Formats: sequence, C-alpha cells, structure tokens
Amino acid sequence: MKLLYNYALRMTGDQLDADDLLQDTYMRAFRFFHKFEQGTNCKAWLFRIMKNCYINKYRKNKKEPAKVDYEDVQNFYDSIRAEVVDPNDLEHKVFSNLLDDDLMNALNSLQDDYKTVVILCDLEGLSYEEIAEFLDCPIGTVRSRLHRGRKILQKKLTDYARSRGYQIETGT
Amino acid sequence: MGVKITIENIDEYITSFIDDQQLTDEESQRVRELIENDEVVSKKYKTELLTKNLFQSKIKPVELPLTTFVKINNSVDNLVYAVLEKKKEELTQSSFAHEVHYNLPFLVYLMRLITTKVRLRWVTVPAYSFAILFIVILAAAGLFVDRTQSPGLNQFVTSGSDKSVMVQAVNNFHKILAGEMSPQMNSTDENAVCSYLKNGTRFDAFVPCLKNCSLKGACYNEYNGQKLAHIVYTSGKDVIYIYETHISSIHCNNLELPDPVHSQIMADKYYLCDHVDKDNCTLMMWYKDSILCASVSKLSKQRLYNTLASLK
Repeated sequence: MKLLYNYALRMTGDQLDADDLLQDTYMRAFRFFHKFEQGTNCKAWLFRIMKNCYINKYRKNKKEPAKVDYEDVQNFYDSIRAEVVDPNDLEHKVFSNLLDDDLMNALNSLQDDYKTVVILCDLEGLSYEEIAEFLDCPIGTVRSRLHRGRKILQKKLTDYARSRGYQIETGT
Repeated sequence: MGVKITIENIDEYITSFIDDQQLTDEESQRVRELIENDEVVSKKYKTELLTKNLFQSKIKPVELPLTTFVKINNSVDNLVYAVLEKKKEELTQSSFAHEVHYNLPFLVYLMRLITTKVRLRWVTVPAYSFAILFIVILAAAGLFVDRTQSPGLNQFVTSGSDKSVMVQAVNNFHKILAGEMSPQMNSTDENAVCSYLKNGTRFDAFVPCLKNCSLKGACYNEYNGQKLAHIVYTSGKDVIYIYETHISSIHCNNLELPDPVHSQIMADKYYLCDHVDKDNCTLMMWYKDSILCASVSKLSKQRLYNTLASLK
C-alpha cells in the first residue's frame, strides 16, 4: 500500500486526492477481484487499477502537462537531445541551488507517462522489468521513457537556474 | 541486445548502465569504455547520474498515514460487510423457500425427532437423550457456580490512566448522568450539531442519526492539547453518550488507547464490552474515518450494538 500511496501522491500532488485515489483503487480491486488471475503479479494488477482510476478521474480535470500532445513532447526531447551540460556546472550551479519546490515543479511538469517511470524507477527503486509489468509495455519503452524523462528534467532544472541568473554553458 | 553500441546510439544504454538494468556484461563493458574514452559520453553519463541522484536524495518516500490506512480498511470492511449481509439475505430467502416447499407437518417432524435412534457401540438411544443429558449437566453446574461473584470488570477501564480514552468516556458518561456535564448546544438536528462541533474541534465529528433515539445536544472541550467532542442521545429513559477524538491524538500520545482494544477494532470493526465498571455500563468503540468514537450507556450489550450497528 505504501508504494501505491507514494505513486498516488506524486501523480496527484495532493494528499487528499492521493487518499481518495488509493481508496478508489482498493475498492475497485475488491469489487473486481474475481477478474484477477491467480498466480499473476498482484502488485502490478493493483497498480494498473490505480493508473486507470487516475486517468479516469484526475487526468481529465488536470491542466498541463497531462494534456500535452505526445508528439509535442517528442519534438521537445529531440530539440534538447544533443545538448550536453557540463556536469560541474550542473552540480554546483544548478542542483546545489535548487529548492525542493523546484524539483517537484519539474517533476510535475513531466508528461504522465514519463513521470510514471521516473517515479517508479528513481523514487521507488523498481526494476525495468517490474515497471514494464506494471505499465504493460516493453522493457525498451520503459528505458526510453526513463532516459527522456531524466533529460527533460535536467533541461527544466537548468532553465530554472538560468532564470535565477546562473550562467550555464551547454554544448552539442 | 545484439546491437553494436556506438557514440551515436549510446544514450539509452547509458540509462541502463546507470540503473544496472538489462545490459549484458559485454554491453556494460562497452559502455564503460565509451564513458572513459569519450568526453561527450562521459558528460552525458555524469549529468544523467547527477539528475537521478538528485531526485532520489531530495524526494523521499512518504510513510502511509495511519488515518489513510484506517479509512481504506474501514471502506473495504464496509464493502465486505455489505456483501455478507446480501449473501445472508439471499440464503435466508432461499432457506425460507426451501422450507415452504419441503415443510413437513409439525407433528410428523416432532415424531421423527423423538423416535430417531442413535447407535452408541452396543446401545441404541433416542436422539433426544443427548439434549436431556446436556440440560442435566448444566443444572448440576449451576449448583456449583458462585452466584455471589460479580463478573470481572474491564481492566482497561479500572486500571487505565487519566489519558485513557476508555476511562475518560466512562467518567464523562457518569458526569452527564449526575448533571455535572451537559451539552453546550442543545439541538435535535444532526447537521447543526455537526457544524457546531466542526467549528469547535476542527475535525469532522460524527453525529449519527440513531434509530429510536433522540439527539439532545453536544459540547466540546480540550484535553492535553487535544480537542474532544461529546454527543448525547436519549432512548426512553436511557442515555447514550458518544465521545469522539481525532485519531492523531492516539498517534501523538496525547491520549491512550490500549493496543489490544485497537487490534480488536481493526479486526472486528468495533470493540464491545459490558460491565466495564461497577455501575454495569456498556462501552462500544469504533473508527469512523479518522475519528475514534467511544459510546457509553447503561443499555445492554445487545441493545447498544443494535442501536449503533447500522451506522455507515
């Protein structure tokens, strides 16, 4: 339940909404338990229920970035893909001067599919295989989204630092 | 993966390398070589690693709040309870239908009951003889029971501290009966009482509509920094008192609830005990969302349970 709660909290950004999402998930799981195939991954099944509840209830009401067209995100990634920031600049000028709010804003600004894999891998420590089972997608897709999600986060955090006057050089 | 790793296609392999996922030993070695020998690849690796570590170190997993756990547990319990009740109703109806269809005339049934024989090794005895034997044993046991001995009182109430929710609930009930504690707001309107308590306690007090009972009113106060709500009902000449506090009061140790009582509430949805004190009071406790409720009355266990059992 803790894993699901943390996922719900990161996706909704609000404790009350996370509580409701978690409750909805367990209620649906109970009602449709007859559809669960014995011997399969129950955690993944619960997670998929939560993801669907989130999409049905919360994503409809949320503004950006959930409604961002996937193609737009792809184009954005392509535009920043070749950029390389000096790691020393990143560590000393960007990351060490960021507030926790900046991190959360950057994470929340990710499109839901990228945000999900970043949360599950980097924050919850799940393996690619587990994430692929949760999301019912190939492992390659998990890795691809993770890579792009981190790249977009890095770009956003760098931009935050620049907006505060830090000079950060990027090469290609 | 079978694809030759080069500087052009290394990006996602770096991700796998950082997470130590899905790479063969040869692929890991190849990525390591490129990181060591190519400045751009090295920068990509370090920046992605920094990004991952930053989020991991700054955003920690949050513990599941107890209130959330209790809320979900109660919701599932209520669902289970509703399903069981429905099943029970269906079974009762089907049993009734079966009985109507296959019902024997009563006298025939009685004769069969009396004349059925049970074989015990070498002896065959009528089935009803067991019932007679049981009654005889009970009667004999009754002669030896010390009738002067009163049933044991509730140890959590008799030896609980002043911080105990159970002790406070029982003491407050007696104060109400003695007129030392009375509602500050007199009302029969559950919604009005609920609003009054919410303003005073800052939590959503639970003010139920009880069958065959009249709401008299409510008051609130504070103990050890914890807001408490007190609600009074009457049922004929009997008083039913409900003490409520936010579950965080237990979590923060401002008030006490014995672990066995908490465990029983979690397991059975409620805790019910009669003869809690020398005045024969009955105490029932349960969680309603984030609120711990304790009801005290001189009603019997069965009557108090029936009155409170239909709560949602």
